[in-house]
Amino acid sequence: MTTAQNSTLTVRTETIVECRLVRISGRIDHTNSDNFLEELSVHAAEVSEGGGMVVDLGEVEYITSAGLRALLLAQRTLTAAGARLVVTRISGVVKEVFRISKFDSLLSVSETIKAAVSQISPSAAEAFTD
Amino acid sequence: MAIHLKFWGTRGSIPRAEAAEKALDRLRAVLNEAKPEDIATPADVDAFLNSGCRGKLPTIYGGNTACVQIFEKDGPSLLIDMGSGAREYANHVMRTIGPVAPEPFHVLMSHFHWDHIMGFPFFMPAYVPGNVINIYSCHPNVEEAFRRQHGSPSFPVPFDVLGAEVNFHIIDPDKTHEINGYRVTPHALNHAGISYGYRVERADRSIVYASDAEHKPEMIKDGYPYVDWIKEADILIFDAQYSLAEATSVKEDWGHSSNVVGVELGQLGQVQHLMFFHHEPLNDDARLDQIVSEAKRIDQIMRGDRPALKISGAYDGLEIKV
Repeated sequence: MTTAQNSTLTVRTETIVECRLVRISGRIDHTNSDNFLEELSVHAAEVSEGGGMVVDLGEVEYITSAGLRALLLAQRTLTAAGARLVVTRISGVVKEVFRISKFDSLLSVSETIKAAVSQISPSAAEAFTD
Repeated sequence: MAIHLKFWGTRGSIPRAEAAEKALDRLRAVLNEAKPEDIATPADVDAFLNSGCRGKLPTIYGGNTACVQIFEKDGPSLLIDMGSGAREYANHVMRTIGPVAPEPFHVLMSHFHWDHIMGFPFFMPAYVPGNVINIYSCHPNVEEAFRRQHGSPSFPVPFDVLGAEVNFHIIDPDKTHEINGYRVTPHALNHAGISYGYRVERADRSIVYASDAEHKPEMIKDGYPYVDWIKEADILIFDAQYSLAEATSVKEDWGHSSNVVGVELGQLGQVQHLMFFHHEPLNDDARLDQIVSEAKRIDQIMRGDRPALKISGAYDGLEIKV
């Protein structure tokens, strides 16, 4: 597991077989969305064909348009590599922002991390422990 | 003297003509909502209709494309863009002033896509000798653009037949120009072929017309020149044609923005009143009201301790005092 932090954003990652799990906490706004994009880009680039990345937004307080775009760019990178992106545990105002922006129809969203990891691969789901 | 703002056309891309059955649907809904006290007197009827039948029915946005007037009562006036709404404005002038206007018309053009220029061939004062029309643009090909749509094969009447004196003025972006008593500062916006927005100021009032602009989410941060340009404006007229998802995916680089981005920029620029404009022709009145209410929710979520940003949707015929 690795950890990177700035003033309002914490990113923790772990690898479960072919699935990269990226757990975000904090507020994603115009002051740190470049960091968020960079974090996602680095991890998306390391995912292999047939695998995927799960982004856990369960501890995110807010996400701006730039944060949503970063998720979209990560999805494009992964799709081009034959992998996939699943976003999980969106709730509260983040869920509202997804609905209003219509990003809930643009990105694959799962209720739980387990369900999200299952969308990446059965072996990752089997290996996942919360 | 207060500045007034009138929207003669607020749609984007193409005029939206409401089908007759839609008008009947609206009439049916109004009749279903009306109680005897709502229609007891003509004043009651006006109050009932102006309230959207006590808020039960959506705003009627109309279908004409971009045309906005900034004016003082009995004072100088500016027109911005010549979409199909310019025809409504022209009819109003002919009715209230007459065929020959005592003062020249002054028109600022954002760009020459159809929806912003299509009203000029139907701008009746252009056909009447004695009228003077001054057209301002940052695009050097402004005259060519007007002449090209005003003749074969697009239109039966050639430009040279026009009776009015039509003058074209090329102005520089990011410089302040004095035009008919207003301070006008054009600014380039991200749109195919570039659209120019206009910050218009008079006395201590400011209106920013910023239609046809695609703000990439990654642009929205401190140091974005647009934010300085709109800073503390009383009114920001903002192109929110698409959802954020559309503007960043299937309609990326089509040149328009969303309600979410409008709120983010309105907050950064500390504007007083964010007005959505250039409405998507596919969207009906209920959806446009929803876009406004969802933007208010985004503002509520994001603003922290700051006062609420006033947000509304511009509609055809709306006149406000700034």
